[in-house]
Amino acid sequence: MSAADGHVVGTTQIVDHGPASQKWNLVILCDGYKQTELNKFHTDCATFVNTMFATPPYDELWCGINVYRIDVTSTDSGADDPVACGGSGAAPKTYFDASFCNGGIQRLLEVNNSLVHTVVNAQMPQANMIMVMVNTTEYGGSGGDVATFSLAPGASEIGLHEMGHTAFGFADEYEYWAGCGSGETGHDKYTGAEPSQPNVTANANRATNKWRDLVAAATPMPTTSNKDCSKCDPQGNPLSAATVGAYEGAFYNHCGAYRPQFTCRMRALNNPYCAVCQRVIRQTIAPYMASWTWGTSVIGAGQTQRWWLSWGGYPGLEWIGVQPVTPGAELDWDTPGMQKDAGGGTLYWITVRNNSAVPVTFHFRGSVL
Amino acid sequence: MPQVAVQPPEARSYNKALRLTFDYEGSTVKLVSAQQVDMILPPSHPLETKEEQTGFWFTLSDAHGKPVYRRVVNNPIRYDREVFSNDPRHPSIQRVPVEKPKGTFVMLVPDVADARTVQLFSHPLAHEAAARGVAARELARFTITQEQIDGGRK
Repeated sequence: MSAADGHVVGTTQIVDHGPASQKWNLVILCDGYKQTELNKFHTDCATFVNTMFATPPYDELWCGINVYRIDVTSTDSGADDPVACGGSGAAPKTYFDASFCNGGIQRLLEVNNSLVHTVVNAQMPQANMIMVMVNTTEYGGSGGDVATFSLAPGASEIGLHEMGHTAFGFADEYEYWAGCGSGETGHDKYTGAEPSQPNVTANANRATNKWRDLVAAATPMPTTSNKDCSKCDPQGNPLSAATVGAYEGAFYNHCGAYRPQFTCRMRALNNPYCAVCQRVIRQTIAPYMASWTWGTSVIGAGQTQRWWLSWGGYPGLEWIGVQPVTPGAELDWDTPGMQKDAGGGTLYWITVRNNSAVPVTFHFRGSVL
Repeated sequence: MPQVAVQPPEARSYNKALRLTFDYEGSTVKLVSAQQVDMILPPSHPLETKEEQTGFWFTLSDAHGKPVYRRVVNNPIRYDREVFSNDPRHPSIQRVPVEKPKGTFVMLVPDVADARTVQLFSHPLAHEAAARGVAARELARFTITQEQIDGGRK
């Protein structure tokens, strides 16, 4: 039950939007597939990719994403299913040693993540996110640096939730540790430092909350409050599902920590990512798009002004341009200049002219070589 | 003519990376390889924070100790883990402790010639510590050596 129980066949690019060096790369490996079952893995992989493509905001960012499949054979099919957890007792010989019943919990399906990293480092070192699909229809999965999930209906949601953690740094938005009805203690009220993660906060102040720009003026802050911090908040959503605010109950605590929307995939599976999570995903993948908004600025009526823009590589950008945001506005700009900076990056400068009688807001746009 | 830097330095992107592989056992973390990779990295998060924060992040600093890259990430050193369910009698996600925390994780940092110091910052590593909100402190610091980089090419 190790690398001796199969072999790495190779890597295939199954979503191709450009070189791996220029795109955000998802790598999917398999475990518990015999040589004769690799075609099934190809189909299972395609099914997951279709699910991901249908999941906002990945749909709109798709041209910035590549997907690679690493075929790995195993001597036997499936995953270990110990009787200690009520399983069948099956102990197939698989390359990454997939097994249920980790920590004595049947649904906790894990693989040898060190071996997964060894394979990925050799096969596809440009990986931004790694997943392992296990050839069993029994429900299970796990997170961490490598997302693992089975072929059971709905198990791909595990992959999407874990991608939120691993690739985008999201916190959990659920308000409990072991469960609302678990009788757990010590999770009544969050009193700690501000979480560094983008999608939870201890700060429900409208003026200083970290996602305040997404909160409408009419939305109360905090948006909901838990009246009994000894348990999870039972109230339903008093506002529309899309309303961004500060909903009390998040980050493993019943009170004192807030989430941006009533529901989110980081709170419970089978929900969309909330607006804050979607924005972070867009910001993270933006540099991998064919062109993207680099920054936004304003130029006054009748003004000519120069901007400096820095890029961490040399040479870096194929194209830089200006795109007015103000309706009906037009701007002129000169061909950008460029020079290598002291840090090994590239410094660009671009001169923009506003010949109109009103200030114009505009985006800098760029594309990568 | 006024000149305005619209792109703060911490928001610049990089197209050369080091793929750093770490092993951990408990709170002991070891850098085991550094692999040079041609790839674009996500932009840095703000290099400084105005307040104490909890969570996990890593920084890359130059020879003068000045951070040039910082990313907030999910804590890869797992003292607890998520369990999922499709059974309506259970929450779809819950957490359980890890008895013997041990594993491997990878971090991607810019490959900048004079920036070879990586620092990991974390809240205290213990069961349920993520829920307590204790401010993160430096957990480990590594200097990436040329030997490690050359070894990563093999």
